[in-house]
Amino acid sequence: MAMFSRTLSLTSRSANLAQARTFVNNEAVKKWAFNLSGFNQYGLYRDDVLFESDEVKEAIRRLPQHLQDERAFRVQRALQCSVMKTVLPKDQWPTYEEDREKGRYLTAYLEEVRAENAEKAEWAKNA
Amino acid sequence: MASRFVTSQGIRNLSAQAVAKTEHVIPKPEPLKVSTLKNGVTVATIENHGPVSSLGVVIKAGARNEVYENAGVTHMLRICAGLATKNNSAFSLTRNLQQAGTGLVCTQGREHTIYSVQATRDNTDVAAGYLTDAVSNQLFKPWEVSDNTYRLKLEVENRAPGTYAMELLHAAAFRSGLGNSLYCPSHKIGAIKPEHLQQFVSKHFTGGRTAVVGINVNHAVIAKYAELLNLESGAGPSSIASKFSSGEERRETGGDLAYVALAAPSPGATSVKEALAAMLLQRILGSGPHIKRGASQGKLAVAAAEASAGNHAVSAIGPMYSDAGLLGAMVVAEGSAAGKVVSAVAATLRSISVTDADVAAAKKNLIADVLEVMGNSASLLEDIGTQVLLAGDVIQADKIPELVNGVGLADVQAAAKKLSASKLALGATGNLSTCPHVDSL
Repeated sequence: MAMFSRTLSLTSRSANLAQARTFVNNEAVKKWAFNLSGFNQYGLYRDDVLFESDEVKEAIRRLPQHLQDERAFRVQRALQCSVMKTVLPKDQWPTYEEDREKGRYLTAYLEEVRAENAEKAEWAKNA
Repeated sequence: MASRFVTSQGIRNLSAQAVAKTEHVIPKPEPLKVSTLKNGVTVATIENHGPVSSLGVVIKAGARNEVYENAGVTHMLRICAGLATKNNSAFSLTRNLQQAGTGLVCTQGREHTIYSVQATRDNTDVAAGYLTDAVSNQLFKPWEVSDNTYRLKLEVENRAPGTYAMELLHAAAFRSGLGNSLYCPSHKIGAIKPEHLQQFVSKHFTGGRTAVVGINVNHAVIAKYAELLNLESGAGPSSIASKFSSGEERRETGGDLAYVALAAPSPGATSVKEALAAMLLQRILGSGPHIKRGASQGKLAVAAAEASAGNHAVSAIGPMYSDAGLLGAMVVAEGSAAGKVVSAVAATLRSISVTDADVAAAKKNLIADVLEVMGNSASLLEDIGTQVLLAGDVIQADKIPELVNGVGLADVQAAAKKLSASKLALGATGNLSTCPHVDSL
């Protein structure tokens, strides 16, 4: 009974609390994490460094040709840096804002692939 | 033992009496109901009390509406029927229609495209929902279109030589418009992009060019689904008038047989009397054997048999469109015999003498053929849809015998005379070593 009333009070406060839970959910922490990961030093975007599972491979296959070509260029440039055991000059590193804007090019396609696979799995479940 | 025998007899007699009391009344089929909706879509339904409903969306868009830049787009449109829409993925459409016991079929002619489903009566609502979605909300996703290009290639490669000869005939006779092939030209396979498909759909899938036809469905229910069709409004672009030209298209492919289609112009579905006279003339000329394993009959078969003892098959063809048509013959013969057979067939086309007996027999054939079309739901759907869209109104089934019998000997003789004075167009493929050129016929 006490738990029930506490749950109720929690749900009524959740609207206010969601904004208040910014201990790590804030711009500064995200920027720090982005810079710490360091993939931007090789000229890569977030979606370039995703592990190429079957879903990601299918999403890449569905990308328009110019986006596939740009991805291939960035990967090749990063491989060259890796071979030379160096990173790009600092002015060529994608910034946090640029990555937010252009670095999530694959996400929409990936979500679609995941939704399609989930639909097929749902039908197979009920088959 | 005896008592058991008597008892069972007694029960049988009782049940026989019970059956005899209820007379089986065959319900009368209801006539065609046609109405036009606010969005311009025409809805036509007919009830003939069968257990299976057929539902189709017929659109006045076909190969005729292609232009040079988008040649082959209608073929690709047919291949892409049933792919992802705004509300359903391709997988969802397929599986949900399967659950309803049906599947989507897309049929195409030179002037119309039909998307149809056939389901049992209790599943028709579900099927109608997915059908309207599949027709009006197509997305043409780039990867889906390119993934299905192999089916386009397969259909073009698998085309029968006789079909190819007919396509060549149309190209020779009408050039563009009706001359556009139902099949995608080879150089366009892989070059048709989603934008072309989307543009074609936006331009031609309009309310004024669409009819929803239902057999054994409730008119009001189907009208509600037809309102959900998300189409552009208006009548779309008007077609360029068809013009017949005498010409030939020949494709030498070698082999043993020659496939030759030759034809003269005939009036399209503009005048009922002339159209019927052309159809009767086609049957007088002969369209293959009417009896299984029998001999072909008709004037063409007789002339061909006299001309050559080699293997051959001859049939009269009479494709008819909204404003033009063709009337002629299809010849399939051994390469060496083709020349004589084609010349004999052309000579017969130029000199047909029609008697009362010919016309009477042809009338019976025509009525039987029309009723056969009406007996098959899928072809009835196509028939009603094309009549509604291309001719404006539908001829009721019970009027057909009356109309056919109203055509007189004089009308058919006039059609024969026109045929004898016309130029011919020719489409040929296969072994054309002896096939004559059209200007010598």
